[in-house]
Amino acid sequence: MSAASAEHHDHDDHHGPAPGLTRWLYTTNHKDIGTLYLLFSLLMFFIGGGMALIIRAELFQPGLQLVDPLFFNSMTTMHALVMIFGVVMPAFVGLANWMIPMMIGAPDMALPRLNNWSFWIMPFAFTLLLSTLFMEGGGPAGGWTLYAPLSLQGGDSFAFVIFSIHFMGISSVMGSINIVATIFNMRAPGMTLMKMPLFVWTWLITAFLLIAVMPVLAGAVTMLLTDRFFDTSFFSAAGGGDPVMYQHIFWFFGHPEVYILILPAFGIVSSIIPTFARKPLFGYASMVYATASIAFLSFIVWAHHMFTVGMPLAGEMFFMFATMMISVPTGVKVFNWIATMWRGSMTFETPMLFAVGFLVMFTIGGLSGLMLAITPADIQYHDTYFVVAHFHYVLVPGAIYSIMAATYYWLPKWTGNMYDEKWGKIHFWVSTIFLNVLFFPMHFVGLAGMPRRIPDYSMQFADWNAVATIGAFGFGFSQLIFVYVVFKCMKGGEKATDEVWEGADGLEWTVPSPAPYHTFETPPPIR
Amino acid sequence: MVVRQQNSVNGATQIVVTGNRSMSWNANVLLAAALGAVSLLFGGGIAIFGLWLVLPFAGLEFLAVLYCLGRTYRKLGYTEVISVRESTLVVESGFDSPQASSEFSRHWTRIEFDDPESLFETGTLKLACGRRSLELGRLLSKTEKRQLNVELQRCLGAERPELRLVS
Repeated sequence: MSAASAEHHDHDDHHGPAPGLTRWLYTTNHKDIGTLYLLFSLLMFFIGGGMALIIRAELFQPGLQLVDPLFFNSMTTMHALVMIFGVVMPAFVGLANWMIPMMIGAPDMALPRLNNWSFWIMPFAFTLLLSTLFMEGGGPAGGWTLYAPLSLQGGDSFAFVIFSIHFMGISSVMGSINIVATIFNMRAPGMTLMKMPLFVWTWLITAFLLIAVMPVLAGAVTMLLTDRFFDTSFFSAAGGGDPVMYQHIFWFFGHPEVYILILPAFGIVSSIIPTFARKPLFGYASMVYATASIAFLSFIVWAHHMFTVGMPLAGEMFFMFATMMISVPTGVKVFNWIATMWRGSMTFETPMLFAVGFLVMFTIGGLSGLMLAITPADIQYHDTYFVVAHFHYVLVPGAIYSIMAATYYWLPKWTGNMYDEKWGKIHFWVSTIFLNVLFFPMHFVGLAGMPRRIPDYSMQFADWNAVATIGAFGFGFSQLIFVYVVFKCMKGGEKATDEVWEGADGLEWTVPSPAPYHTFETPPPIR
Repeated sequence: MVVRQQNSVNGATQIVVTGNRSMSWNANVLLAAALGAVSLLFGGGIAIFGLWLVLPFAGLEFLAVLYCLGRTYRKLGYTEVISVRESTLVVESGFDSPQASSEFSRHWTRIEFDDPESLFETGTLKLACGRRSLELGRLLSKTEKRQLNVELQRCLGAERPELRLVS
């Protein structure tokens, strides 16, 4: 009776959650990590939102009222960094963690420990970033784009900003690799690529984008660091460098980043609309190809962010037409969503309201994007509040609404309880009204010439700025309803069925509600 | 996955416990190469303009992609083969090929199955003999562990007349 000890594999989370806080510190379970990402994102949403309210409070009236201009600039910079890297991206990663393994019939993510690290880097990164506000010289104030040479003129806290961006990048890359490894290697038998839910497809393409562009961001900010502290001259004209090159490589990362922030939203909406229209998604294959086309085009349009820098006419023409081409696959998507709803047995529960809100208002943002793509027009619009209106219409009713839609949609599956539908609908309508009060007037002041990133402005812009500020506070405080609904649902409520929604289709709806700690360790059959 | 089969050479009953792989190793290598090629192409293109610091990050990322895909592929190949022989129960385990082996006397071996009610726990299934025990099927779900438990009980019972008489 001889025995050799068997080698154990590293799938070490088979006995349910550990007790207390250690569960959250050491967890390798995809659902726990998804929850951590989502809660972190919610916390950062209120921090970034608080910064937005400081900005809007200062802009309520012309003149300098509440904060000094340097702090105002720090707020605009930090608000963007927090909202992009601390809210939208972690929320999508959280949703991916929760849903992708369940959607493809996998027991967990491919690399559970890496998943744990990917999350726990984030709180450190953002503590580092936010701590710069309390350092000598203040936080970064040159805009989230960190354009050289302006960004190099700040205090020594700049090094901390760069390190925090590196940490965020490492977290994103590790998360993306994990998602790619999971989707390709752990699909249930029969789950071919063209049977995957759209949310999985859009996340797969997002992960490709992240893997492609994150080294560019890492390299760009490292060169800023060496220019600032080690006397290199990558972006210093005095030393033979070229500041415009920074803009080129930043936007080579930055424009795909825009699609990193919106492609998973397309996947979410493509899951929700068929459920509440009680019809299969119209044009599934064309949706996949449209997503891939958008991802490809995102690499060849970066210079539309810098038409005013000056470039050859041929370059301007190329980037203008390439940008306009993106509206073709995007139009395919919008058409397919509408066609899915056409003659469907529609009901308008909260997830569907947010999805339809996404569809209408994201399209408004898309149309103003088309206006900005026109080179001669962009030269007028550049750096005005029209641009601020455009990207907020894309990101708030686009990315943020999709995250809220997803939360309401999958919350019963996560908690086992139905959320309070009445308060969910109130949340949608109050948010939507105030959101438009907040962002729509920015089109008017932008077209009238109000520049962005300024704490003071001419009297002629006063009325619409006051309106926008009222909208900002209304929108900000209406998000407390969201927190109330989510935590109420977590505490209890009407028990959810396994299927939850009448028209829901997909593997995630075949597991019990709440979803067990481990799902699909036996690959399920795929029809 | 739990599969019961007969060994074609010695006719022993075998229970194979394994994970699920949906992509071949060659396809994983191709995927890593494609992702690496794109990153390195971007890094190289930008380096032509003197901004060479993108390249090291692209290289590091390529290595990370390759390592993670390799580790995933290897992990999913973890297999346990439980062979029920005349007087012994042999558990071989490893990635793709047997790397560890445990042998138990089938007459003195018992199955310890902790099957909790909670949805959040999958329970543990162990072979125990004296003070020695070996956990099986750590990759499996609760349902699969129940299936494995039944298969083991059946195999042991079939080859141990006293258990068959008792049952």
